[in-house]
Amino acid sequence: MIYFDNAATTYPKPPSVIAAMSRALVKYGANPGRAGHAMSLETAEAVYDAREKCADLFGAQVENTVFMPNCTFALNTAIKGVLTENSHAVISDIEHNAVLRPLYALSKSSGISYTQAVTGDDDSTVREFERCINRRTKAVICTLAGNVTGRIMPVKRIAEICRRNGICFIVDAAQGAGVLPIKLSDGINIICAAGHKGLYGPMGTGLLVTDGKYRLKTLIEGGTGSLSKELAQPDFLPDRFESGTINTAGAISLGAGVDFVNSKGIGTIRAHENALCRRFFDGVSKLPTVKLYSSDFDERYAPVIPFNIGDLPAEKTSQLLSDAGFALRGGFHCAFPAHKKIGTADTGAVRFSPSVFNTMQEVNALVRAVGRISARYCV
Amino acid sequence: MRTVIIPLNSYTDARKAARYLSSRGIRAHIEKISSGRGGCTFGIRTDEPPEMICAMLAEIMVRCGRSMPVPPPPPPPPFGRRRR
Repeated sequence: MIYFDNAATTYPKPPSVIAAMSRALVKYGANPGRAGHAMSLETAEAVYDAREKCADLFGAQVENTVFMPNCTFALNTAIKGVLTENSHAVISDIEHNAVLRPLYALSKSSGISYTQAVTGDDDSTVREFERCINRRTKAVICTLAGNVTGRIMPVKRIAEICRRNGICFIVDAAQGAGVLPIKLSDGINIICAAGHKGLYGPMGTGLLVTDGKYRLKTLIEGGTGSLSKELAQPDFLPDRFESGTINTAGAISLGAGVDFVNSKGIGTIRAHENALCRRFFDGVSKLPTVKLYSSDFDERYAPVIPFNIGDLPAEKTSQLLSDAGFALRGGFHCAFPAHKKIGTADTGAVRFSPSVFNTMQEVNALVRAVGRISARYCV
Repeated sequence: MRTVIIPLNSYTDARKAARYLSSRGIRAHIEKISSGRGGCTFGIRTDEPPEMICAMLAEIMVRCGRSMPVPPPPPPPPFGRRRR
């Protein structure tokens, strides 16, 4: 199976990540940050090392870098942590359900309202975000890059608007982390990232990275290995948001994933994946029945390309490609507004998303497979 | 020179503190303690003056609790009775 569904999760993982996971399961078997015995302290140190690597990647303090089960949990923590009753949020019109559903739930339970800023080119996007802000706005949440469209958002410029208005700016870096440079110093207050996509860590890992400016309410409370006599949840990070036992082996191997990204260089990774996207875009755009949803693939996009073959339902295309040995996701990608935006609200789309491990030969083979499906089903 | 344990908030703070102090040439050993703030936490054991350590850790925004002296170890038991 040739895997092109890396926007869902990257596969394969680097050998160093697999080795780190295996070593963690064998060597770091004690619960970190709990006991004072040698194995617990060694495990805690391994987790700290991984935390420090993640912190450095985003330009954060180590204690402000919190391990999460996934990016969705991080976004829920941030969104529900910062918004207060009857407050308002601004989001883009291409957000993932990890942003939409918490806001929808809050709109039903806490009177929170939210506005979707219509995105276009960078200038119009920034103007829209500013227009949507009102006196009740407490947070702006924006994806770094859309998981369907791939469009990269002008987060630095949006961050400046938030700073001027005293609004918390939360970035969903699920698609961008490891491929696009992003740091808190870009003016972002909270970065939520998946550990298992562009950071090449295992599934079950995510990050919430904060500049510490906004105090977040907790989503869950529980044991943290600190201040056990006190009933109140600790008020300091990362303990405040790491109740219960973290995914220790996952966190340690996520650190190895960050090492891998750093060893390659984000710029190199992006250049490679962009070249693959360029080849795919150019290849399928020659097929008259293939529908692409942007005029071109260029620096405005993260390495994600949605497409369809004729009037074939996206799930059907995905199944046919799977039968031919290619893994791509077809459907609505947990981001229905993005599909409304590109005109695939009725059909969904198939998503091409390569990783650093894919090759030109694999892309060429995929283009040929798309051509065969097109010839057979769309004549 | 007196050995003290300085309670910190958590393991993360303790590790951050230990590494920072190490980079400044000061040895600090991490320990789990049960008599710190909130009943249990992690702290650093050091032979350096606690006031100096806490001032240094304030530079990296690590909050210190009240230091606790570490009692000296008991003397070793005498050798067993010698046969005459």
